[in-house]
Amino acid sequence: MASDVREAIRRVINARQCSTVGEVVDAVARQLGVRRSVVAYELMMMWKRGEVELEGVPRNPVAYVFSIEGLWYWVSIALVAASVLVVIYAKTAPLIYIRYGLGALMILFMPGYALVEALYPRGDELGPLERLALSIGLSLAVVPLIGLILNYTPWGIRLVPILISTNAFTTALLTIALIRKARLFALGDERCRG
Amino acid sequence: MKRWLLALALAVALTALVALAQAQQYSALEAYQYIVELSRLGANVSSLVDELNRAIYLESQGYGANASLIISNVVEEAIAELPSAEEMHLLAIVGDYASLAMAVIIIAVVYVKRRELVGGLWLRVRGSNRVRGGGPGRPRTFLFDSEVLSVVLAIVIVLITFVAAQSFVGANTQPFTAIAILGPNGKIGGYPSTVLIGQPINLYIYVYNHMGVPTWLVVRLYVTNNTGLEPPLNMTPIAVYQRVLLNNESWLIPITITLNSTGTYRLIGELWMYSPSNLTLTYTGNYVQLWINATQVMPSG
Repeated sequence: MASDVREAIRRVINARQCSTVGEVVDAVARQLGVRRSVVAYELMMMWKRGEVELEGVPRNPVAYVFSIEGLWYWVSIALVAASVLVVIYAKTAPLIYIRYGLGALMILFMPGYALVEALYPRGDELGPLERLALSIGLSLAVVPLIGLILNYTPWGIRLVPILISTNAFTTALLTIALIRKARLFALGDERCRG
Repeated sequence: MKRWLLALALAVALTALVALAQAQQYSALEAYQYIVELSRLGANVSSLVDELNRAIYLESQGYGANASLIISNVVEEAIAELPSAEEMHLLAIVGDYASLAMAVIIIAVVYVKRRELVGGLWLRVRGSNRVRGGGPGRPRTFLFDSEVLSVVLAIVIVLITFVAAQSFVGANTQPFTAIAILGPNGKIGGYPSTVLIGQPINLYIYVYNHMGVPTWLVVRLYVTNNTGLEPPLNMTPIAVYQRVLLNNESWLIPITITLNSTGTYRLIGELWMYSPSNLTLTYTGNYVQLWINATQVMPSG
């Protein structure tokens, strides 16, 4: 079923390059008699796998930051902010479980993820599994180093200094990744213009 | 004959006093038992513990009547709170299981309907974008990759199992109490080892409760020049401090002692508690001691 939908999408795109997503989805949904959302999901997966390209956001860095292309950055920043809030305010169940989850994410994944995104901003330099493994591995390497540095500061290794330093580190790297990705996005070609 | 009568009256009065003190102790333990029960049901017992501690303090200062009044108030309040605390406890358990069931149902529905939900949302956001062939040919994100999702799912299952096991077994799997001796500044270190006789020695006793419920702790302080005795000591303590501590609460007791003759002394603090389960005064097995030499002249250097 899913493969039929994908094959139909390929045929429509080959026949009508630079159609809008809505037009492609409508055409395939009519052709196969399936729901538009199902076709849209398969088209999204093809885009995520790098089979097709989407164009529509103006090719400049500012447009990238405030468009759907830069959504990953704002979601990551929201996660950082949410983790800080739950660490400060969530002391009892059931919010404590959210604190556990976000706390683990912020220590075991996000620092490495931000570093990988900053080092490899294009997105296709590494495979998905490599990116995940590097994110977890680099987090495990970076967080103790932050602790080591904190140990030699007047604040020491305590909750608030750890909270501030790890989140500041992650936010700084996410911002570097955003700037690098925005520059790369602006350099990309727009074949469907006109 | 009059002497006999006087002696009899004295004995009766003494017996009455002892009986009164025991009755008061029993009421205080009854209040303590109610507080422990309320705490196990998840009720906030801070104010009741404060009141009981006030009564314990008044009792130690000889204001038995005032202490009795406070203790009976604590018992009345605790009995009044008990039914609502039981209801809230039951509701909390039902609420926890309902939330868990709801979360599982939501996750299952989102997974089954992921194509419709995610596809519909994506179509709204990306509907006007133009599509062309010739993408990079390699995945541009790891969020929707099946291998990545399998690994993430494995990690999540391990984490959920761990959290679930923790919540079933309980956070206070190894309840304990602790006692420590702190220096004149209320910190570890700076302990006096040699002092002049008659010189006041200022120290702190630190007590910590991690029994999972409020616990009535008793510290017995001894000074002895017997170097071979092992706690619990069978002698009269120089001071007794007692208080109900909330779970995870600590207590810093300032103490001042003086040694009036030369020699080597041991300052010993034993930690006892009224067991939350059977309300008997039991030795916790924890004690602290400090060796102090008392001299007439301070050694130079």
